[in-house]
Amino acid sequence: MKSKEFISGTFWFLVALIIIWQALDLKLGNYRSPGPGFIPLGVGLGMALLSLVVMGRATIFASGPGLTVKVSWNAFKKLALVIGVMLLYALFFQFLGFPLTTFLLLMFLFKGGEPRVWLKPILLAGAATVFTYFLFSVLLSCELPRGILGI
Amino acid sequence: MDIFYNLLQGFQVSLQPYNLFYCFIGVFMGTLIGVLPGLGPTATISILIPFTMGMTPVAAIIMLAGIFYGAMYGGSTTSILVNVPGEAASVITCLDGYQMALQGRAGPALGIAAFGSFIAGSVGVMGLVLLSSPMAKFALKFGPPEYFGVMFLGLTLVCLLSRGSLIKAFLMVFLGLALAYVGMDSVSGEARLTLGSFMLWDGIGLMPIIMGLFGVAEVFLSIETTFSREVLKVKGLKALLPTRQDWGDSAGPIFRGTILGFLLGVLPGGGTVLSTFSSYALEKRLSKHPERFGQGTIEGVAGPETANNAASSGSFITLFTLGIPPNVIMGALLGAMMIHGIQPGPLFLKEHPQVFWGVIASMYLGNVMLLLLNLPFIGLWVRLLRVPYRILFPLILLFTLIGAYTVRNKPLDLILLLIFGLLGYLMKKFDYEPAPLVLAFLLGDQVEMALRQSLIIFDGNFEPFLSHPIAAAMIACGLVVLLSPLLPGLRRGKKIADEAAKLED
Repeated sequence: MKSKEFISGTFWFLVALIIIWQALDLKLGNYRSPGPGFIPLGVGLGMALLSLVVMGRATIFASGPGLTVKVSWNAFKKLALVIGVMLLYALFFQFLGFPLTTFLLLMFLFKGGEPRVWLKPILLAGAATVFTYFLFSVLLSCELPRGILGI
Repeated sequence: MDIFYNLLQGFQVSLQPYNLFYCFIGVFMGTLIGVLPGLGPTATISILIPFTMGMTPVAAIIMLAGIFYGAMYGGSTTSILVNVPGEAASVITCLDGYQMALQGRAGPALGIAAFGSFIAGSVGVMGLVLLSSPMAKFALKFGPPEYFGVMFLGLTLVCLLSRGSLIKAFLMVFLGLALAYVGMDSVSGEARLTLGSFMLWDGIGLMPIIMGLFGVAEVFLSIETTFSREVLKVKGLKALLPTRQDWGDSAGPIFRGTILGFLLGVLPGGGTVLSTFSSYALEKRLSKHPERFGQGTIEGVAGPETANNAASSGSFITLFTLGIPPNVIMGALLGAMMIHGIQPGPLFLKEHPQVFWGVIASMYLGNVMLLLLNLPFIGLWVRLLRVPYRILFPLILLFTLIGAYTVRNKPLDLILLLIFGLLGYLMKKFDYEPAPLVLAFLLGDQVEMALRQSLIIFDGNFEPFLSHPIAAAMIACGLVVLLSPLLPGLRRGKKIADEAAKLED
């Protein structure tokens, strides 16, 4: 198995290639009159060079402690739940509106994957939603999406 | 005399009930997040920027600045009583502060931290008053090559002083610059690095990046960790007052911590965390009993706690007079100022004297408020630590989501927040530092503008970068930093920064 250094170096190298490809689509200009792609190209090349150094070092120093990333199964499950709920929040925020998506987000996060606990998360989520709605929408006049409920 | 007249005017501004109220809210929030582990001042300032939309710019900056120096006060409480640093600049306080608490001397440890912070905060603000005007006048002589030089040095210093590999830190600088160039080019109007998506034409917002990398990523990491929170007790306010012996032992560390912290705060790339470690190392070296450090000596608390507050005042100089954030917290403040239509830099003092002097005067008042907030109400702050993290983290995530959305009202920013949160989490796992990325992102446009303007003005000639003395000196210093892995002195400095980061983890 490759070390985490090699994996991260490869990832950044691919990102650098995308930056270079995008920069080459733009006018580069010259030293006297640099175009919009001039500096992004330099940035992409610099990044590619440094990521190659990271990969090279990982290949030379291929053994030793702390070379792999460890996450426990329990932590991974918790993290996946939080990321999933946040992603759904972002996707449905505009359509369902602030109050409803916020209530659902908080309810699932307070519940935290425990199967039979419902009342406490619902009450906490309800109170926090009302509080944040009042704070942001009423007091601070922030424009939050109303969604299907229209509030 | 001008300075004192201006400062008086500043007090007139900051003593207005409206501004005074927001100063109190700022230091209160700062103390709160300083006490609570898992959310640093950078994320809090970013989260609270939407709250400031309806405020006057001066009240907004007063409140956000209060969060920064307030967090420096509050952070010591959990370090001493729970052995969990509330924020990164209080990590070193755990070493001797918690040992003192175990020996029944939590009171003097908390007391000296608060008094030392107050002294350093007040002296630091005086330094800020005295140095800001000459610095701003000096910076008026800067042209594009000089600005490029300062930013080049700042970015290389941030890399040197962040933890781990220098190469990885520079990689993050390049990534930050690339992210800054996403969107429409301000000169040609062409869309750049948008991957063909119209949604990215406006560029990537600052809020999703800062809140993702610092707020959301911290929550993701904290979900994995369970804090041990056995809170030690303090008996009454009287127990908080250090003895004459304590004052005698702490006088030197407080004096040195103030000067060292202030200077490291001014330095681009420096900041509060580095100042605490440098102060601790200095005190240990100067002490007649270095073996007592780590066993509960009051010098180990007084020096670093003083240094971080002095550094927080010092870092305002670089931001206010050069317009360049010396660290990532100041970067968040720069973002807030720009949202309020204020561009810090050499002209800031001339164009917005009310904001400038009002904010500085508010720091004096804020330091007094912090002393009153931190000593008598220590029990209240400690009680907050008993709020379970499973209740706190959903609320933190909600505030980051609302904060990311309300600045530009774009649902895309919610997705970007999640992406940068995940990126920040993975970066931590793969030993990459987010601070160079954020600073490079903030300075990206200015770096490009300075470089492009210099090349156009000097007909594609790089020579002015070497013939203009200020630019040449800055670039030379930056190059020394780049070659630092080969220099033993700088390698030692890097080692201190790495040790700081290790303890922070």
